[in-house]
Amino acid sequence: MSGAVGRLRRRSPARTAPVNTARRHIGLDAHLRALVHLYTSEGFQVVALRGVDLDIDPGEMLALLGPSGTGKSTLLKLLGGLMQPTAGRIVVGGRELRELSSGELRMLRATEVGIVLQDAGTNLLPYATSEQNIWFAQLGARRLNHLVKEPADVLGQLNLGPLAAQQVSRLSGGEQQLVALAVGVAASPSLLLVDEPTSQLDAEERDSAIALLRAINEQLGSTIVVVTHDPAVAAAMPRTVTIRDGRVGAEGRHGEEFAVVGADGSVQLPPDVLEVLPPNALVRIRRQPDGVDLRLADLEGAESPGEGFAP
Amino acid sequence: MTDGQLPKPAEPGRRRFQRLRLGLLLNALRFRAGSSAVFFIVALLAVAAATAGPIYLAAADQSVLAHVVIPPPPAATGLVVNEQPGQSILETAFRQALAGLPRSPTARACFAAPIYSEIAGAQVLSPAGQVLATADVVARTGDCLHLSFVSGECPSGPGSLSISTRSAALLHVELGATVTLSIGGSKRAYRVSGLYSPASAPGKYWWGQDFFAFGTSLTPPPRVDALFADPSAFDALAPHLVALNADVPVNTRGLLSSQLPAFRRGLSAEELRLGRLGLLAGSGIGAYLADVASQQQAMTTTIAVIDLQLLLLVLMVLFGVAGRIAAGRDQDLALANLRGLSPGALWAVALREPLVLMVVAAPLGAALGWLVALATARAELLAGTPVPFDSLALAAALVASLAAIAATAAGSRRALLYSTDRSPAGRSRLGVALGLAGEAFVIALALAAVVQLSASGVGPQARSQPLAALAPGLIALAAGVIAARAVPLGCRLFAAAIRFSAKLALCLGLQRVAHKSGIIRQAVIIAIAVSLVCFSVAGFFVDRSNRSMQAAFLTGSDRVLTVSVPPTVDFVRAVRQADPSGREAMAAEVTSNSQGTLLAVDAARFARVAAWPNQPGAASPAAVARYLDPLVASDVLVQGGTLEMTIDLRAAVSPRPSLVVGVYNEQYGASQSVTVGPLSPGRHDYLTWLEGDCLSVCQLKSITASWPGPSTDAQPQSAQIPIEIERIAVSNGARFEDVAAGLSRRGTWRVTQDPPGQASSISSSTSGLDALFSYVAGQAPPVIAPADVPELLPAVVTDVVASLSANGPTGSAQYSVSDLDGTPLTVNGAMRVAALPAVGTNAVMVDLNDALRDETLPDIYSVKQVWLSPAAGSGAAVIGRLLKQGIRVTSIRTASTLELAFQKDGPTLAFELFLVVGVESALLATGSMLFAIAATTRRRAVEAVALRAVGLPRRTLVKAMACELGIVCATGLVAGAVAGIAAARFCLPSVPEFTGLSGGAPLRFDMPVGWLLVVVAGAAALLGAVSAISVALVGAASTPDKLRISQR
Repeated sequence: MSGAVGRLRRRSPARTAPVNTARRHIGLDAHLRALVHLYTSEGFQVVALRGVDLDIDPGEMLALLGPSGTGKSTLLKLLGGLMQPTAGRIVVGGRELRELSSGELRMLRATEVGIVLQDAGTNLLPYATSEQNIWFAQLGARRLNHLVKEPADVLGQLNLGPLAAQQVSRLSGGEQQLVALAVGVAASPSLLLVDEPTSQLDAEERDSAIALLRAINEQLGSTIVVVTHDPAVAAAMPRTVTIRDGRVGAEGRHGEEFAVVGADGSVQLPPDVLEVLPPNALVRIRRQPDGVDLRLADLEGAESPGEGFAP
Repeated sequence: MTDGQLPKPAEPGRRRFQRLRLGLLLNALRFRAGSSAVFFIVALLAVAAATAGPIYLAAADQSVLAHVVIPPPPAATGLVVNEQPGQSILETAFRQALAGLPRSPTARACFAAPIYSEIAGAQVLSPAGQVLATADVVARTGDCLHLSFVSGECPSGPGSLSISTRSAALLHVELGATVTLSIGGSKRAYRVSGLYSPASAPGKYWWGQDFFAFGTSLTPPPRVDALFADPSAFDALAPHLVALNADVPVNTRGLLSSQLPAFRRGLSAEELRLGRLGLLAGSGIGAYLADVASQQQAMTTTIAVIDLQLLLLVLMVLFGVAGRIAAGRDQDLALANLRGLSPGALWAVALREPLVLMVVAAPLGAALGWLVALATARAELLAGTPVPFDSLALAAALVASLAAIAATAAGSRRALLYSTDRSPAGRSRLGVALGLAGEAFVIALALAAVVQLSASGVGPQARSQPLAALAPGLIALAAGVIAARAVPLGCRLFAAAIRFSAKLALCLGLQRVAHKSGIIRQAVIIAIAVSLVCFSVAGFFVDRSNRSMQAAFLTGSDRVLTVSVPPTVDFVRAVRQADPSGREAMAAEVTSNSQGTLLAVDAARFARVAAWPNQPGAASPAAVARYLDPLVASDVLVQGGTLEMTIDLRAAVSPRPSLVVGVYNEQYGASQSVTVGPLSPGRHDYLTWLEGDCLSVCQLKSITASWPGPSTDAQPQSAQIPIEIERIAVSNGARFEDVAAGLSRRGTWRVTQDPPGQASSISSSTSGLDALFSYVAGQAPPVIAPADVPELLPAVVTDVVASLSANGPTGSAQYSVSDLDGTPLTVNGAMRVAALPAVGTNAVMVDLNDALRDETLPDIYSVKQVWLSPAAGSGAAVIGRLLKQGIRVTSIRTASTLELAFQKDGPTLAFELFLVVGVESALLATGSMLFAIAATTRRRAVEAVALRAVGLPRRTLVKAMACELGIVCATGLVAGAVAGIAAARFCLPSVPEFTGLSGGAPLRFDMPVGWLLVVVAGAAALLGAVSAISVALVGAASTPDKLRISQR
């Protein structure tokens, strides 16, 4: 891993990319295995993630979907190297994050992993202009001689040029979110992690943000992981992973929903199915040639037809 | 949102980035304008505090130097060059040697033009060749400009000279006459070209040389004033007959404090050089420079200590401000961390704005420091003292800037660690441990300092300890630290005790103090500031009162006139007549010898005129006056040429006895004894003649029995002589008038001397004084005398006199001192004090009238003074009345002049800085408190809105915050006031200023309670106002939208 970081250091001193160069670099892949994360709250240990397995391909756009408190944001911070997992492995771009030093993690964040936190304001210097915010976000990359675009070019490429000279505290919430996304890609990261990019936006602004994410993915080739609780955002993503109770419960690909069998053999049922098979229900499992038949057990008589679940 | 057209870069990347960097910085400063302004002001004050001290010190050094070396006459500070004894040198060589003395102001030692003197001893001869007088023939550079010619002119050639009028009168010489002098045995004739008035002789120009010594020879021939001649008159004299002298004034006005070491080296080098050339060179300036060095040393330490406290307070405030500002920049730091900036880059982000503000504040702070020093110097130092901004001030500014940056970095560290999530419990525990260790160290240091200073500082034996000035800051810091620890604990316990009561506001306020450690730390800053203010105010008033008291005490009274009294004038009576009220003037005489000083005062006026501050264990001035002048009989005055006494010898005594009457004329200091008798048995009138002295007035001092003794050994060797003195009368040529001798009044006469083993006795009856003299042949005769003086003169003696074994026998209150006439005088020193006015700690004070009555010789060695009380004002009226009686004032000393001189002493100048520091620290504490509240206004507002949302009344919230701030302010106020007053009580006696004032009456360190109450009340009002403003600020910010913002 340190070799990869070392390569970063040996890059060309040319720090600014040519204007309008729509160079697509290859996004980073990421692999999460048996990821467990605990945190302490008021003296009690709380399990945020319990055995998450997830593979993200280079250049992929992925939405982590789930209600509040299911561990989505925690997962994002772990991917960004902002926290260390309690157990399990995270490999980003072939580098095991646990084995990286804090300096190497900083270099990773400065050059290859862009993070956009929930609430646009937390990603921006409120007193600075959009251009100054981009420049500030590039400081780490510039110090490492990492190739970055001019701040104005970054904004221009994302069609945010008119906001360049405006102080971000005077921008609307939607515009702030767009600038926050631009700040996230200021250093041309290969992996962009975005937490709830549309949480405070109206529908129009949400669409703009989604469009911008797509543009980033298309123009920069960055792998994008978006944490959201908004199904509309998830629907706009090619791949959606649903996190429930700290686990990957389901996955949607190109509009179709799939349940995911966990490492321990567990399957999280979709909400509508839970209405039929509520928690603690006794079910009968019958293997079928093309799958598994799951029905409520009727210990006194035959199973009630139509109340089962077949994949 | 837009078309995506990118603006073409119009400037090179580096410049664009510089623009972005600068823009970002300016935006950040603008965004945090309030906190930036506070930081800027505190940084400004830090640099100003650091630079003001050294600048003021440099100016005060120069002021002290000028104060010490400029007032003395040139003779006291100049270089005196003479020939080596027994060696003579040619005048041209002498002048050539002195020509090498540096004159340039830039030289290490700078001298003015020498005043050369050529002096030859001469005898004035009569035409017959008899020696009429002795005199010096003198040629001194510029002498004619300093002589006042009554007639004639300055001598202009080798054969002329000028002579004083009184010398001319003695020698019967007139202008134009020829005077024959014998110089070295050879006779020379000179024409008198001018007559000068010797009255013009005393002055700075003459350097105290004895050129005007008319009448000072104790043996014939008489000595006359110098004969001033032209230098050419010495050309014909052999070198060994002429003494060469040069008086070289040192240019003391051009002396710079910074050049003193070089000056000393230069002066020594010149003295050595002149010594190698065969000359004796010496200067008295060394003693003055040693005094300067001593004062400067005390001043340097004191100012450094005072300034250090202010600087530390400023840095503490800066630390707090920087911490709060850094906490306000936590988002910047968190973002920088999120974007992968290295630790160094994070520090750069954290310190970027403070550094820029420091860079701007440093020069402005240095300028402010200079202005503060300039204003203080204008108020305190000698007029015209330069106030330079020297290299030391520059270094101080740089050090303060670096210290301020370090304090800022330390203050920002917490926020930085928080931003990088590196503030886990382990680090906090280490920090807490270090903090506790630091606090324990501060407390231990303060305790040690108080113990040490109180051991050396309290009482009259206080030793100079400049570190005493550090006490208020140190004690306040310790008190503040203890209070900041104890008060939250107390609040926690109190809050727990009342948590179920209805006192919700109080409980909330207590809880906040108990759990929010940030705000209680303000109490430490308030404590230090209040302590410094209390100490400086206490010091100021104690100092002012002691300075004034000591100036009056060391002077003797408000004004002391040294006077010249004609022999025919009764001094005490004349002074009483000049001030009939008895409240303005008092006669006093002082005489000193190696054993000490005798001060004789007119005790009847002592209480109302003399400066007599309360001394521990000493009596009041009225009691002192009563003690010095107890009720005694009136003196027996006889005025006339013939003395008649009616005496009844009640038994025949063989051979016939006589009486010897002793009288004393005070005006002429002349005693005489006249014999009355021989006495015959029975009642007879006896006549005797007094000498002319008693035509004015004489005191009858004694009556001594005189018995010729047995003619043969077979006869008795002793005799009892019983007499009655019925009457004493004097005649002035007309008729006899009775003398008021109190013969028939008991206690008016007493036996003053008896032969050993004998007991003469006296008793009064209606007819006269009965006396039984016991006379033993060959022994001292019995003596009776008027009881007009106490048997033993009551005296107030100082502890030093009492402790000297040479005086005062062990276990007795009798001391032998030297009377005004130089004769031994035994006094009863039952009253002891530490010091006496005007004469200090090694002295004895008696009543002047009694001392004069005890005189038997003229008091030519005593100095006569008239002491004036403040009621006499300038004393012009008294002086005028004294002049009318022939009493001339030769010099005047005033307490106010001495007090002014005290004010310009180095340690005083240093201590005065404390007031400035007190004001600055009060402003700092106020600003710091305001900023601490303002910085948390948003958070407090959110909490307030949230509490209101759950139904808490606004009034309760206001009361809770007022309670919280009240606890913090009261903690700081009480801790500071206690620390400041304790420091003043225990440590003021060790402050160099006060030890420098000792030597007179014991200093008093009574706290100015009224002023301290005013200070504490003022501080309380100020803090109350700050708290009210803070509550209002939070109230105004407590709008419902805060909840939404908080949620975001």
